[in-house]
Amino acid sequence: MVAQESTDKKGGWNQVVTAQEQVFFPSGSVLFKEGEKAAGAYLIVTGEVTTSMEAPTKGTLSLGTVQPPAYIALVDSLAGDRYSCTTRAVRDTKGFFIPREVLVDCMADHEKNLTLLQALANEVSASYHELRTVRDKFGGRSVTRKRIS
Amino acid sequence: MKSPYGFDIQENCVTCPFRESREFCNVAPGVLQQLQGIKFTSVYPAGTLLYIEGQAPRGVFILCNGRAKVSTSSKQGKVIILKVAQQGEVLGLEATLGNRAYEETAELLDSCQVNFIPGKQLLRYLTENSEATLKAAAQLTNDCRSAQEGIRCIGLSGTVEEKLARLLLAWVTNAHEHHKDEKRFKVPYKHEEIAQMIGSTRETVTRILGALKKKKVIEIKGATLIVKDSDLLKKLAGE
Repeated sequence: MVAQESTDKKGGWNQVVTAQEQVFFPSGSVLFKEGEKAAGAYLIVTGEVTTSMEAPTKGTLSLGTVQPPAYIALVDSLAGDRYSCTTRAVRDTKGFFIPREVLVDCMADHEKNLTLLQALANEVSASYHELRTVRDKFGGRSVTRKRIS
Repeated sequence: MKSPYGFDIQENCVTCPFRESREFCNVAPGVLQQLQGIKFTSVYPAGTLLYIEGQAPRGVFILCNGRAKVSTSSKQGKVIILKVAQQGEVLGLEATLGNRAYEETAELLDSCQVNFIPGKQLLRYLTENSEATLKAAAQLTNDCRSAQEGIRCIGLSGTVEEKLARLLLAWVTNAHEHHKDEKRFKVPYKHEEIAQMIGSTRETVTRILGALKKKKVIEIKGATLIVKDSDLLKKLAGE
């Protein structure tokens, strides 16, 4: 869902991203809604967004805020799927929109594919973090295995 | 060559008869030849820990056959089963690509042949072969979806009964045996493991499964679970 990124100094992928459409979302606006067709991913450069999931009868599950720089919806976009969460700007937010077609092309490019894969890996790591947080929030008894960190 | 565990060991990926049904291995012959050159084949008994959470990443493990339980633990020490990896899946990919400690523990549920690929060789292999890059992206997508499903199951279901019903419905979707209007599938998990999947306790899972049997929503014969009333199960899952 969300991948926290350090400043990427690798030229190829950076150049692709910064060549894309710049986007601005005023505070309170929605970048995309859960269930919409994933047209592309976003790199958040300044500002702050929140992500959430919804269930028709259960309301909204907030997954937390995202600090830039961070990619959002890379997995959903590359998979050609629907957005798996709703993302909303909590402050004025700027970034880049990377269309799905550009992501797919970069996967075939030897200079960019590894950086993109690593960004995907970061998104997986972020999902695990969100899962752990939700698990702690929603009960069940503690089990004996100690977390190695 | 037969292993002591009763299955044939496939030493050569290029001639492996199963490669077309294994997503990561289903690549062009030239790419497969490269994969053959960088992998190390081992056979392990059930219960082997391929890697544990917090361990420094060494590389990835391809499950040639069998299954592995992939779990993680929260800050409070609660164990969450992310998924049961199936044959053909690649384990440890996210940590190896990100060059950070493994974020999950992988334990074999069956005796398995496992192909290990060291991190550096994997990165070179992925950089040089866009077909392999797409396969790796598909695996990462799969991993992300497992985590998202866990979040929905734990965070968006109200009662434990609802969470368990959602889990059973997800298994039904993947079930291979359908008989008339029954859906049956093997459940190779203990009640404790089911509890870890849905964020509950073993006692609660046992109680709820008993209640579902009484209501004739499900029937359990040994390790086989039969869904008798899928409509009621969907209602219990909140659908």
